[in-house]
Amino acid sequence: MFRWFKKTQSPDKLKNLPELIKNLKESGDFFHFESKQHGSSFFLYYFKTLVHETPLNEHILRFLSQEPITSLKDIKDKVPITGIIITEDLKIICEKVMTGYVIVRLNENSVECALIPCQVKKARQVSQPEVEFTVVGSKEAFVESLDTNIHLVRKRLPVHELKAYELTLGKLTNTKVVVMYLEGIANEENVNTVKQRLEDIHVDQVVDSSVIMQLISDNRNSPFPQLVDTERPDRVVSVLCEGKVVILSDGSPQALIGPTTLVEFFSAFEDYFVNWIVASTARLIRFFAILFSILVTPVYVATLTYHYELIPSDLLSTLVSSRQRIPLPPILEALFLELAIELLREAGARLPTKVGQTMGIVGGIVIGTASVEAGLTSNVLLIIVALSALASFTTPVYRMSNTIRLTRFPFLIFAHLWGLLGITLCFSFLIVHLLKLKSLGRPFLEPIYPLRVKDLKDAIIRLPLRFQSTRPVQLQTEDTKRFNIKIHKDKNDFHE
Amino acid sequence: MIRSLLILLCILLLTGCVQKKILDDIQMVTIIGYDVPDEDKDGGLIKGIAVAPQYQPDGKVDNTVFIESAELSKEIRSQYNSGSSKPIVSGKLEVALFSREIAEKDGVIELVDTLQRDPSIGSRVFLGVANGEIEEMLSTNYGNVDTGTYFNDILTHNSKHGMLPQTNLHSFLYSYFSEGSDPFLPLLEMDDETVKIIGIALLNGDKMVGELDADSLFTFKILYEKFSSNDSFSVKLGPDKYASIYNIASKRKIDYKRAGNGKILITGNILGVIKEYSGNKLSPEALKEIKETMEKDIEERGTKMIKTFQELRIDPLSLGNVVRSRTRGEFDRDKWIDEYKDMDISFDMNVKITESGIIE
Repeated sequence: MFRWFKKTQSPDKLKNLPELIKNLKESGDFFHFESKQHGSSFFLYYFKTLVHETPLNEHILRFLSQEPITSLKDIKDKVPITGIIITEDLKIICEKVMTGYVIVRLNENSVECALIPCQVKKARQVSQPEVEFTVVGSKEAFVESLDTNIHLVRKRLPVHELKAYELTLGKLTNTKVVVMYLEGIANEENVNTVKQRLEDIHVDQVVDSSVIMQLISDNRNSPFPQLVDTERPDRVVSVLCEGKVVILSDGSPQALIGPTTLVEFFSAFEDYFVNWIVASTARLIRFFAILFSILVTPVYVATLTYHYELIPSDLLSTLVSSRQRIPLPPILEALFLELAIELLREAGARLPTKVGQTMGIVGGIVIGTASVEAGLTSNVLLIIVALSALASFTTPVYRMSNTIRLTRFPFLIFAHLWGLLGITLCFSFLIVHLLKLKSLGRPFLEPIYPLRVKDLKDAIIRLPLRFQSTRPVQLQTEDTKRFNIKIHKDKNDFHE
Repeated sequence: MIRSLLILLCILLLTGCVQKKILDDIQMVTIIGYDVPDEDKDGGLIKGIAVAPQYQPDGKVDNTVFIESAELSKEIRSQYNSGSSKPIVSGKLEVALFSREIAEKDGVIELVDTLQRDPSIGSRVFLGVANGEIEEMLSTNYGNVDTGTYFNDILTHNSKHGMLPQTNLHSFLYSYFSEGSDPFLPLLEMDDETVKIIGIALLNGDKMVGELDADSLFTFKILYEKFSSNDSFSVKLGPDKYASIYNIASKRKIDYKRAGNGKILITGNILGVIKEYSGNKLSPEALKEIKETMEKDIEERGTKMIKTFQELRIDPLSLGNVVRSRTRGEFDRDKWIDEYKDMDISFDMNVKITESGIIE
């Protein structure tokens, strides 16, 4: 597909350095500079857009023009910059010049050159997390620069056990990817799985960590994400301490966390910042919201199509009178509204923020009320669909909320075809699928199945921190104990 | 892969076999009444009156009444359909009423049997006997409410908080088929624009043989089951001297073995609160008087009631069940009925007044 690119750029085809330079000169931002002083001469070649001007002028040019240079080794000794390479290897030269190194040659036809690192590091400032915002807790989020991201993690975890295994992915993008884990805590098998899967990736471009996520997932045909992505460095640190493996990719503000479980997608990081009772309540509400979001519209369709007996007598008049004028069967009515909501969401996501808000109002109020007044949908269903859409957004991980909205549609169709029996059938399909899923080879539905009572401390509810003294069994960590609990008996301060 | 595709195909093809009943495209019958047809006007053996609510978009409820006669009760249904714009379904049936004539002459079990055989009809459907013209009773509009729900509400709240013992399709069938008891059904009557429970109809097998009026319901309930209710019971202490007992909680106990051979002792225990007293001062003596008068009053009524049951040879209190469950060996129903009619059944009442107001 990209053969045209290979023809011109590939250093294999170019025989020597002068030919490479000739080739590179075809780009407008490739600069060359010659100097002949003190009887010695040197030639500089670099990409203007990749090189930082200040060190180039202040360090490189100053030192090179001050003293006579006779050999490339002189440059290495005199220029006060670390990481200078002297080489003849065209492949390395080509690779380095493309990442912001300056080529220095002493005469125009030599094949050997010195490479001086002088990259420009332009990156967004570390800013507030936008997807996983929490009211309390750190307000730092990852940015697009890998070095900054690693810095954000390292400064929170200043131990030598924190390893960052680096590799380059993507034939064209040459993206730097880093696997981070705590040695002696993370299970080596997990680390190796991640490393091996990353090494097996052979694609031309890795522009974001989500690409990596799709490529290394255990089941690529599942709508369920099998790795958690986060933009919070504190969350990354917290899971590193649990013994998980984290993948950071250059150019992506999202870190990937694995192995993970289904329940982790429903735990917000804020759950650890608030009291355990509050956190557990929030989690229970979220689980309820998920079930509600998936099941309530299908149940509406099923009962109205097949099981009129199930509707309480008091609700009957409301339901019947709201559906009195509607020409569509319940399934079309429901699909129409669900589709409307999906359209609104998609349109809102594609539009700029300010226009997006107007979209929400236009969609919510105008379309909703108008369709009820026009007799296309019943107002009861409008409430149900709006609520279930709202409920699907309570999921803390954005990817999961997409999946949940998607899951509703097969349920709807089964509900229309077979009623409640169909919903049960579809639910069992879903459960079987979830049971078969794995995250980096570890069961996805743990601790519910396989049942691991020890891991229930931080699953559907979050127990107090003193119960969290062991690392998750699922990870099979090398060091299972996090800390020793000492429970102090409170002295009674009240003198009775 | 092929196998899962085949399964999917089967699922899709089989969906054609499922019959859809979309809520607004069906006629839901909520109450049904059975009567004996007038011989000269309509033929057939049974006249069925079904009422289906029509919910209007503006919140109003109209009731459509279907009246048809046929040989079998299920035939009536197909006749209803020919006169209805939507298919008639019975899944929301809440009350089934029988006219007194049917209950006394033909027996109700054939009709109850069709209800019981229909899987879409729940076992908590109320059954009842209608005193008076059933057609008029069901054709009347009782305000902006569907007739079935109206009847259902009357029966529900009276058996939950009032003096009507729990009855429904399930309990009727249980008493009908069990060896040691006879069923009873609430007896309803139309009074102007409302419907009232005027007592209970006593059945021998499936035929109505007697009735109890509304005043006797309290005594019957004490004898029949454990309950607590918000209704009151008034005790007449003398001319122009009454006391009223509220918040009554009652428990019954049946002694069979201890009372001696062929004897049954029913003990009722009542807890109550005095809310109203027409005398001057509620002294401890007065309290004792109220208590004793009440005990005597209920005992008298209860004993009389049991005598009536024995004369009618019916056992709505399901004493037979108690005897059957507490004796070894096979239970002989015929023998029990024989013994039952001259059995020595005594009734002992204990009343305890827990509160009599805060001012002494």
